[in-house]
Amino acid sequence: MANQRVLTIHCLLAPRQLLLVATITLVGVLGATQAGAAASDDEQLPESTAWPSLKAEHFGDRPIRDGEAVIGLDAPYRAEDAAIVPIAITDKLPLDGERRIERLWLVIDNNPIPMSAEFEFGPAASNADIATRVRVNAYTHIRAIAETSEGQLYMTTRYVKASGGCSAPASKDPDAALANMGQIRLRELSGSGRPGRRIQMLTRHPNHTGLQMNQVTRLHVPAHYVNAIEIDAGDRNVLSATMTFSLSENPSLRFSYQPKDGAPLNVSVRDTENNTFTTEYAAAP
Amino acid sequence: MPLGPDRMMAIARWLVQGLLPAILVAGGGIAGAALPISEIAPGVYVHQGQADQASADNGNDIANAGFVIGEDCVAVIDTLGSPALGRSLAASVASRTDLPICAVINTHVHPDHLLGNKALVGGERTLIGHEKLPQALAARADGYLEAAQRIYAADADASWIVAPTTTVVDTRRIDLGGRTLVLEAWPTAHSNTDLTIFDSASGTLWTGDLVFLDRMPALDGSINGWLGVLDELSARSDVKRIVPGHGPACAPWPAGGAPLRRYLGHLRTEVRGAIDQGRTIEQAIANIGYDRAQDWLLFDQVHRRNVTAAFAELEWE
Repeated sequence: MANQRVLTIHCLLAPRQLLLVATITLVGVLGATQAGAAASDDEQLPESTAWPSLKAEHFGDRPIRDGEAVIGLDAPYRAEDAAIVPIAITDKLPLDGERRIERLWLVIDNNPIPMSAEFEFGPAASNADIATRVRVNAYTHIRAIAETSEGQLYMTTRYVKASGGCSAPASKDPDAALANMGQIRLRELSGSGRPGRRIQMLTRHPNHTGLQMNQVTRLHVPAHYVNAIEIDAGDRNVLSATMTFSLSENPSLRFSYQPKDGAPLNVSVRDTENNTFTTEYAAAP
Repeated sequence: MPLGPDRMMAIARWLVQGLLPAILVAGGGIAGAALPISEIAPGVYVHQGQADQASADNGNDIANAGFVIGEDCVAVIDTLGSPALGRSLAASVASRTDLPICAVINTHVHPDHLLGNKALVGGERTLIGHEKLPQALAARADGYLEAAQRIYAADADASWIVAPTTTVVDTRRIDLGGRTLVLEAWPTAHSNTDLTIFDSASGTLWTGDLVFLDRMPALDGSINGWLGVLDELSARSDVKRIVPGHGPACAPWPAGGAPLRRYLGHLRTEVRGAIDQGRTIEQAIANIGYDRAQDWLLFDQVHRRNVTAAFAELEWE
């Protein structure tokens, strides 16, 4: 060989010792950084500039009370994956009380369509517990607003940060979701200690947000997403929901219902292209 | 003088990288100055990114990138996390050869690997990526730019988004003169845009983020797909060494893929178990996989994301 070279780098795995020292040092430093971040998490949340006009648009001048005693809202303060942010709303009203939650709204202030979902609960719903997964476009307030049977509105608010430079609320595999579009799956969840049967409903759908024409790539994808889900137990309604592409690819809903007379669950999912997908799920054995 | 957090971080990076502390400052600031680079095999040069997440301090210099020199021209593989870093990479090429760059290759869609494209395209150069890369980049561009502006580059704008004009559906060969690179597009694995580059002259496989070492792997595609691709790559006897997307500049193969396969395999087993037991995604995120935290740098920042993604995939099995 005319041009013999001596290479200074050998492709060896790092000596364990070196890695260990580095890890300990890094963990120490990151631990300190994280403690600082945790302290700042307790600071006053920023005001939402979007909310006053959203409130006026959707709720007019109706009073909205503090909802911490009526509805719980679990959302991660830091969303590790901005495309799949788990959100859980918990009905805190006493089950044997006179009041019940009849309707819930989920609002994500800084998403393209902030009014992200509306849930109306029927007679077969055990309570107004509902959980889903959403996309978060930017640092944002997330709100659950409940309407009780007496017509009062209550609101609980959380603040979510999408973290990291890689974070974008984009699909992981839109082609796979599209190829299997319309599949619906239901599964029973292990008990929560609350009455009723806990179910997760999943439906395959790309839930495309739609893309603006990109000057470089010349690509345009029209919005195409699930916009309505209806769930019945026999002839009794569990819930009726409408939603936008704020819900993640392959939308998921968790809910609880009260089975009666061995009636199966019937699920109907509709999307913005007027496709309807349905399935039936057998009653509990 | 007591050690401040910045200094300790610098020491940590030095230990991780095994590089001189002096070159660490090159990461963000000196646009156009050549990056530190290692020749890991004859004509194969790698710049090793810092084992960190994007920050103002590192300017998003967190991924591995480099180039391969043939007899006629040079192929650049990944362009790093900003046009400034891309310019520095171009300067590194110029410091090693007078031959022109004829191809610029993106291993996948993530911003730490391709936001330097703007600085490397132009003239006769072909910008090449996976067939799904242009659409994936268009869907993510706003999020990438928002994060860049917030974290490390106030001046990031739409001109940073430069998508490949030549795409690879299955395989493509690039002749550099006396040396041919084989590009291979993979089904959804680490991401839905993974492309490997094999230099048969040296037996070097550039894996992009199909392989992580030391730094926590991030799942942004399919855990089943990723484990499948790793099985296939691990069986290849023509690969002598790899250049991973994160970690050391190079590693032996298939040994270099073993820690990642262990992590993903364990994650898949645990998540499947949680789904079988009727657990929720929140319960899985809170409980799974923390016994492996000591194996990886940046575990806390990335692991929960991986559980989330794995759960959302495996619940369809």
